[in-house]
Amino acid sequence: MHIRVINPTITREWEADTCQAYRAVADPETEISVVSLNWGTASIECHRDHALVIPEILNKAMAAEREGVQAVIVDCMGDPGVAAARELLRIPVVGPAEASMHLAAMLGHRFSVLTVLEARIPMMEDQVASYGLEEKLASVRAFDIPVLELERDPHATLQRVIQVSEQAVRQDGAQVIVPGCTGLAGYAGRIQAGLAERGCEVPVLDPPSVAVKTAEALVLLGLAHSKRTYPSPEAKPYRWPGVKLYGE
Amino acid sequence: MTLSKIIIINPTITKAWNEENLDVYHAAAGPGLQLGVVGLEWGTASIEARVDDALAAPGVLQRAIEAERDGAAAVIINCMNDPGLLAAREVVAIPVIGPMEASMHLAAMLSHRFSIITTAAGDIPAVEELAQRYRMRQKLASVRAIDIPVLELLNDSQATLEAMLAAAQEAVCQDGAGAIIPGCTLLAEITPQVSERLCAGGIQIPVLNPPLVALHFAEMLIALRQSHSRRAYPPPGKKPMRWFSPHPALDA
Repeated sequence: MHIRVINPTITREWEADTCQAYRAVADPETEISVVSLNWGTASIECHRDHALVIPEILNKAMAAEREGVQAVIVDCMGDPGVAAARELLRIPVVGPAEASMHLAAMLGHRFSVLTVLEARIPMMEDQVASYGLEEKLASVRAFDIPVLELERDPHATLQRVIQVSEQAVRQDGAQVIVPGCTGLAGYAGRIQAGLAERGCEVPVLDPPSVAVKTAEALVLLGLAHSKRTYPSPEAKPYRWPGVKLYGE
Repeated sequence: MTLSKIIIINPTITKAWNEENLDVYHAAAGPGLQLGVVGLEWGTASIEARVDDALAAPGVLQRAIEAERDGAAAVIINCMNDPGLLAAREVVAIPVIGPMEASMHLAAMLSHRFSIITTAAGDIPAVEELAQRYRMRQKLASVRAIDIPVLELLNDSQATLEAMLAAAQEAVCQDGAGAIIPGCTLLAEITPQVSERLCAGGIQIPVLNPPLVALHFAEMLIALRQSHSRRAYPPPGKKPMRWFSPHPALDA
């Protein structure tokens, strides 16, 4: 099968690492391809960024379906554009945050999500509630490193994330940790090991890995999103550069 | 290639179902998996009431521990009441999957709300209690029943299909369901037909096959090398215990 991962930013430099992150636990027979956006922002941290990237995410999602791809994943823990894409597509559209949070909910009584900046905590709490999972949420905590600075000092990033995770476990009662930025792809194992060394043995999920296995499962199960929940929109006049909204 | 073994627990004393269970799972298992099914020595013939859950749980614990000792990578409890699920997670470190929990979470990812179609009307409160336990009440549109006892479901497949379909249509049109979960693993084999008939009637929604959903979550956790949080299910402490036949939980 072929899964398309949309890097929902204009930062093409991330494509190679993104592809590697999604291939990590994908079935050997699964083809993974990554595309970035023509229009949007360099990273996604706020509502403004969501507003500017979602239209092009929809364009890329429709293109993927036309190319015969079997599932789409949007590589961002804000799950931007996922709900709208599900209206336009018949193939599954997976958001890594939704997939990871549901798995986290199955692995422990409560989970915590680690987001980038303090100001993003309400947004992430709202997102958890939108999935109906707020009773399974221990807390959202921030590790205070902007997305574009995560890789400046990976060791410092790792130590900071471990520190905040430990607070979530010991103070908030988290029993599972969900890293709230796909810029932390590949860190989960080291975060989990670092926590274990400090006497906090909890699963730390890798959202790209959870997303790719969820997408594979949906394709193999022959399932896609409900057309009752995400009905195809009625055609109407529209104007947007380079897009055929109703497949005309 | 090292094969990962998944043990499916048939939480009843009805040995005839072991073979059928295995067929359902085998049809969907990937090449890296080895599957086995085991039934219970003590319990009831089918699981419908809370009493059935209670009498199944000790046997589920036994089979889960034995599976782990035999090198299984994961265990699936093949019953939509998820009997013994939380207890089993305390006594083994490998993932234990309950198809009801797994199906609720997958349905929640695919729709705004889902409905569960169970067998007896008397089961409806217990199913709602499960949704409460998993904190999924908000995503549950309704629980409906087809009023055919589990032990009679396979007597007249056509009648069972028509009853499922009618209940599914009502769930969608009256209760606002965006997805359907069959509330009994024996209903799994007719899910494709329920889905096709709904689609033919203009209702395009996911109809889940719970055993296969459970299988995919088991495979996912094996691929992720993850299992349940030990903080959520701490291994119980030692204490005096007694049982009427050998039980591995007493050896711990």
